[in-house]
Amino acid sequence: MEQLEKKTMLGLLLVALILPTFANEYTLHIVILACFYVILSSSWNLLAGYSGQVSFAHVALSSLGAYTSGLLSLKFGIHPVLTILCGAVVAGFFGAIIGALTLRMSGSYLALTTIAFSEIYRIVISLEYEITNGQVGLSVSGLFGESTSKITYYYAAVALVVIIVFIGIQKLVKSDFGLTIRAIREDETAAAAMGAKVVRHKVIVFAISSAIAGLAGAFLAHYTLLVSPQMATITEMGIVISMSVIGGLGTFIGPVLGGISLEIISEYVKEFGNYHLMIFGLILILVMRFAPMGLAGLLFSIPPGKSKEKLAQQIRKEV
Amino acid sequence: MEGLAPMLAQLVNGLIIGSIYGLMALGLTIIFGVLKIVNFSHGEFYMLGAYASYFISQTLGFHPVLGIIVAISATFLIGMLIEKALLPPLFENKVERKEEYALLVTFGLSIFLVNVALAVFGPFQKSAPALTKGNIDLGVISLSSGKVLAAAIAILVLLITLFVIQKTWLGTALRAISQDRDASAIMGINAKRLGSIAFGLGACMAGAAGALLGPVFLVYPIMGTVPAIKSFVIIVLGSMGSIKGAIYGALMVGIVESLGVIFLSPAYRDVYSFLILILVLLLKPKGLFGGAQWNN
Amino acid sequence: MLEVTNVEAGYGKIQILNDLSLSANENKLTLLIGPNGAGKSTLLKTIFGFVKPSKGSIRFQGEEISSIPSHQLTSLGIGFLLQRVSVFPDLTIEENLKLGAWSFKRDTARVAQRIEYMYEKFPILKQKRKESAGLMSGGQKRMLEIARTLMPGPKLILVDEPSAGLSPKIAKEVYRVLHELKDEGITLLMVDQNIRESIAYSDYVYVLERGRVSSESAADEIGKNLKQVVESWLKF
Repeated sequence: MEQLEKKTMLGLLLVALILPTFANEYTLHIVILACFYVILSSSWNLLAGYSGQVSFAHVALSSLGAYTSGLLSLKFGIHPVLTILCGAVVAGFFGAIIGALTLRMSGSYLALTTIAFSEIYRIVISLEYEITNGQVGLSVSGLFGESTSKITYYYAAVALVVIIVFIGIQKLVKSDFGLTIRAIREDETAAAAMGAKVVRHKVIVFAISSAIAGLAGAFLAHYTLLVSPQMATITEMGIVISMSVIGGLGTFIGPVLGGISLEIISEYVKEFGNYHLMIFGLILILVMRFAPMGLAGLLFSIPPGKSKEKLAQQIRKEV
Repeated sequence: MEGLAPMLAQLVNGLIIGSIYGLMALGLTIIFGVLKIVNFSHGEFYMLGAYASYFISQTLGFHPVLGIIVAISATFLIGMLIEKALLPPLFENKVERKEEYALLVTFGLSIFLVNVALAVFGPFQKSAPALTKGNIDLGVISLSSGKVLAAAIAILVLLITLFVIQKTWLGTALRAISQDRDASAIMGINAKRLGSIAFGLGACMAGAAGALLGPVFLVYPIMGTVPAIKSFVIIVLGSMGSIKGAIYGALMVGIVESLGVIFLSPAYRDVYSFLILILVLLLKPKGLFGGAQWNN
Repeated sequence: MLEVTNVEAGYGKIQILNDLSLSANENKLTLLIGPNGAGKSTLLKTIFGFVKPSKGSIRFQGEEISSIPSHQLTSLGIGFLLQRVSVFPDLTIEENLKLGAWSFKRDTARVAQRIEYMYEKFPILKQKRKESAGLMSGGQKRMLEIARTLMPGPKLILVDEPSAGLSPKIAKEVYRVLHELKDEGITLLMVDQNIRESIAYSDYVYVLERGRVSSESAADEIGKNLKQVVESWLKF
């Protein structure tokens, strides 16, 4: 990470640490939700921004993790801490399958396939109400028991998850593995020609990104005490995409900036009406058209990705 | 003989609605053929067409057919303007990953348009007046005249579009651009301007479909999402960029959906087309009509 | 007729043409030869506007054309025969020819007359007029491309390796047609690796190396030094 990015991250961390001391419950709740979206956006950014696989199945996989965790804890009485991990594993597994099936697909085809998977998932979940309770959703137990006054615990827990996920993604991106997947986004054929094991990398990234999504989804479920098909809609996918792209697709701090700013916009706009999604869409268009590197690009002047030659040089050294 | 009538009705219904989806899919295929992009906001032009027609026929009280004409004109213009505003980076070599750009920009447009509609028109489903009243009694089954007229208009628009594409200078130039953009420029064809026209053309066909199906399915902001996905299925099945494929694909999807509803479960109606999409993309990604060229 | 002065151009960060100047005189066949990568094709693309020059000027009949969009050059009288196959594969031969008349499509009489003229000049095209252009042989496609380029009656034609990928027999036909064009008064600026064939009919020759003109002379004079020049390329 460049210096300025590092400092910003540390600054945010500091703010996050002292927040519970003076913020009220509602603010903490908003921050927890924001963290959820940041985790979801960061993991999607890993998939789409770093390895170039623009998938629309992300929120569906997140929801899958949530339902897995919810159902396991409900039917078998297992503690949410364990079921959340199970949710992550299941989501990661199906993410790997989707990744394997869509290996040879380019942008639009991949998008369409994952939209199809996502919608099939959502429809099945909504209709099979005997298992899932349909549109109404499942009531599940909380991570820290039933009472909601444990919000500081949840806050601490989500903060922990965020930190772990960030460190994980950071290490992944900076490693040889990360270098290779970035090369794949730039030019898949060239990367393969240079010896990169494209298949393995693409599927692994899909699996990891989906597992994180499943983790986030399951966590949210045991925080809000509810699992419903609402999280698996294309609208929600649109929010995740907007956060990542507006923040800066393919950068590390992008999803963080995007998640935080869009949550803030959301909170302010909701006072006037339900216009926040319209604004997200508009900003997304404007960013793509005029500032493709997003907020991260504008604030930290991150150039539009290393030139192919530089990446090629780096890969030749590693491979 | 008793059980056959509702099945037949379902099948005919599927064909009628399929023909209108076919119109929408043709629009998508024209955009893909000329501009080489998948328009992820196609469903929203369908929606805009429906609202335009609703406004003319319900709010202002004119005849629904005027509503359809207005819907087509409005979505054509809006489509052209949007192409000019959003798609130039694709052709100025400013973008490295063109497919990703088109995907994200049209998806963003989709989010924007749906929520503008929500803000302006409200979320409640509105009922648009049918094109005509009454039923056509064919003995075994009875069809609503409105639906039949809608299908007839859709087929008319389809035929007009095919005529334009095959027999006019404009259509031939559009086909040329889709096959060889540089050679077109050498001929003197302004690919940028015709590209805008192509997008407008594609968009207005979605708008026409929306105006035609508004009375059938009710008008509401997210009404375009499922028809858009069905259009995707159709053009993928029929090979992206193939006109013949779009038409046959529409018929196939209409029939498969109806059969699924008859023999399996009506609740899962939309899932059948999604499954077709996945199967085709996994097994025969180039579709059943081979090649991505803009064939006849 | 065509003046290229101090042109620099390339693709992104890769510069191909460096301070290149040459001219193509009216009614003459100007030949461009040089080793691979010298920038010959890039030069033609830059003249036609597919590549934008970062420096320099390109004047056609005295008018600066470097900032004119490519599609407007046909009406000015410039044609371009690309190196690669450029027929519209899923259009018929007749549709391909018709598109050659795009810049004067409103003049239906002239369009019909020009098409008839092409059918006389290239009988094979008339025979296959309703067939898909993509199904023809390489040589036939070339002929179609030439006919199509001639439809608007251009004054200058840029030709990029006319015989590329063709058998010697077909190539000879192509050259015969091109040389006829010269006799009809059309100015040709031609890139060719097939030096022996082209030089016989050329008036002036430029040698391009590494994006600039390394030598130039009238065609009949270069013949003596040709062997040496070509050999010097093989040393790369």
